[in-house]
Amino acid sequence: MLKRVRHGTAQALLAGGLLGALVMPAAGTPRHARAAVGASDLAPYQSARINWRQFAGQHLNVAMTDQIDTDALRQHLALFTKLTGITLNFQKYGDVTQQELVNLAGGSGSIDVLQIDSMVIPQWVRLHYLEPLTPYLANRSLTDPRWFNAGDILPRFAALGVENNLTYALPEYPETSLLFYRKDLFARAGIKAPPTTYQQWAADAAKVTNRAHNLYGIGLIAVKGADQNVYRWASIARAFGGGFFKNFPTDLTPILNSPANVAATQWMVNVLKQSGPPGEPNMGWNEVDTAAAQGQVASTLDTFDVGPYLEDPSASKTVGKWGAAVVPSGPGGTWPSEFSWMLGINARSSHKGAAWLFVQWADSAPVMLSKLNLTPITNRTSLWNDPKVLAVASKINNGEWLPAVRKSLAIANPQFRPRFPGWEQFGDRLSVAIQEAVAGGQSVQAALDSAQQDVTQQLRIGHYIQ
Amino acid sequence: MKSSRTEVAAKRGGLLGILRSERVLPGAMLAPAVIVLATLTLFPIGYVIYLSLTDLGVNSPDGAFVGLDNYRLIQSDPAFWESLRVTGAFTLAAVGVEFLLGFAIAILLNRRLRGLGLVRTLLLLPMVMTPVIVGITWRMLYSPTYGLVDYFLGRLGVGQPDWLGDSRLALWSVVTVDVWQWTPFMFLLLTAGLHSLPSEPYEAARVDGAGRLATFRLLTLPLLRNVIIVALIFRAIDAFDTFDIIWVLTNGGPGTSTQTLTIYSYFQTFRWLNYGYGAALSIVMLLLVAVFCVIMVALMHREPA
Repeated sequence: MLKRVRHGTAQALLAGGLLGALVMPAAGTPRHARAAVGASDLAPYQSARINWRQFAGQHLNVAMTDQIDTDALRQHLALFTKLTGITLNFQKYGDVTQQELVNLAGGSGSIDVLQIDSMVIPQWVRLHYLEPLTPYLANRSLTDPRWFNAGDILPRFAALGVENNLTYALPEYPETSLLFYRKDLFARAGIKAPPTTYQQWAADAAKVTNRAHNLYGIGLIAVKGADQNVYRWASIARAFGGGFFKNFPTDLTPILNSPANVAATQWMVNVLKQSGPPGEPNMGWNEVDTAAAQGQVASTLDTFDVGPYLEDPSASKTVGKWGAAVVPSGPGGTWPSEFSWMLGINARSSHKGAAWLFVQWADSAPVMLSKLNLTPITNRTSLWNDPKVLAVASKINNGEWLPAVRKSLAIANPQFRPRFPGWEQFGDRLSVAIQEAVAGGQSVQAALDSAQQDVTQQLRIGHYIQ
Repeated sequence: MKSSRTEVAAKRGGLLGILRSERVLPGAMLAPAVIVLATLTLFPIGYVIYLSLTDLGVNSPDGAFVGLDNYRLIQSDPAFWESLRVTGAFTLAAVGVEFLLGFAIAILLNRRLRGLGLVRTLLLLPMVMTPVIVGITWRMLYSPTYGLVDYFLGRLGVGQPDWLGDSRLALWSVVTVDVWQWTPFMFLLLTAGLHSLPSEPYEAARVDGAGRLATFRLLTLPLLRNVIIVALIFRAIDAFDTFDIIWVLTNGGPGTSTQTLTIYSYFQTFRWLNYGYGAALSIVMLLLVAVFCVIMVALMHREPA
């Protein structure tokens, strides 16, 4: 869900993120795309038993989100063109979903390859926006199954692209969430290990907080949005034994004002009031991560790509001071998030074969390895054990990042947030309640009661419940 | 008899003759503009009206015709009424303050002084800035951690409120930004109005011994009436439709405290993909603006009492 921008000052990050919210396309063809490509660069791809040049001369429009992974992929676009003879118009957008929706809703096929938020896939499949990829995966002239090895893609994340037993998108940049904490500050406060429960976390955050020195024990995303506060709230609420529905997907009766959800939200409100920075109600991922990188926030719960970001000297003043752990547990268990940026094909594209070659190429193991200079995050099970990946990943957050990521990937649940076509409206309404509670405009109980009433009406209109 | 003249012209000059005839020529001259207008304006509006009569969206991918159902849903949608209330409050407050400030500055600077040209130019700068940049700048200024507003308030020993994060303050903080950016527009229009006023009535008033206040009330205000109405119409329509500044500053939050109709309509259409319902919301907004304009134009044409 994050659109991680790695470089720049706090102001630049803020400005970049906000500009991104209004869908500012980035510069056109990247400098890297013009770099020379040698025969040895092509070798890993030419071992695939398909004709990469079968769509030579075609032109593809590719839309991706503005994040470090996109920059990593841009480095190798010239290689793709050299390999396939397919030229690319590769654009990155601050809000790629918005940009794509405007295109898709207008019935346009002008964007051929779509980078897709995994939570909107059920919506887009229902609206016939996405081309099923199952036939392309099965077509031997388009896919070499041994070379592509789709079974190697992290299975829980591959499941995010499946609707009605058909694959519509493949994970390209998976995410799970971790707890990040300042090892130095926690140690100074006498805390020997990262918190394993939410109660413990609240106590630790209070110990570390020093308002006089503009230091806050915890920062959490509270700004509204199904992809903002709800994304983090879900880890907390589910650990408290709460959730979204009575029994998803068989019974979509909402339970937003259940005692467990009220307790979880109250925990969030209390801990932010006691140990959170000022301005919390409007803090999104950009603000929280920047505050952490600048040394104002001593712990947070966020997606795992924050780990490398906090260790980037061009963005962070707190390099080398961070540890990472699996998110805290509760009576409901341990709930790291699960999300992925996926690659799919516009159902109205007139270059679907060429688009599939791009998706196959971008999701392949050699491309994942070639992005290592910018990000160790990969969609492949095998690569999480690859020595080259381990050499990079094992250094992050004082060596705590990799084991925490492995544990989280193993227990992450595809239904962490319920995936159904009405999710965005449902999640956004819940997010309003969470933000209102954090802002103090309403009590937790009143905010969740009101959300429960509204989503019940929405679900009735959508025929999800009687 | 014009038709017979057209026929005669047609007989004499063929196609060119028809085009040159009095009846056809104006139509031919207007046709390109009408075609462009119809393509760019009427067709989209017509399509939005059609969409608003369907339930096209994520719950109905094929979009069945539902008549006025979307409009009935709007009537019973509490989020619509709340957004309408926020929109009304935002528009009234922003346009009201902009008018009063703009008018005051226009009168203050309506004199011959050295350097006034530079002052006027500087005053217009906020208006030429992109609203997104204005939003980003003010978001930084309002920031409770590194914003200048709270920094100076803190130095003065006043409280340091969370301008955009407090539900009670957020709307007024957004109004302030709109006022900062658009007061110069009011100033510009009203200054132009003041410069166009005839000097004779003022000379007569001076001869009659009228004071400044009486001159302003009995001369300036009535003479500027139409300019004021036009300025209010322009700004009110623009404020009613404001999206960018609010979106950048608050996303319509905290909660729904700054969620105007445009933002609600955006959520319905482009985030929740309820295209039919979103289209109906747009039509309702169009009607509200149209009614407002009709009232204001009628007011403009009414003879002053």
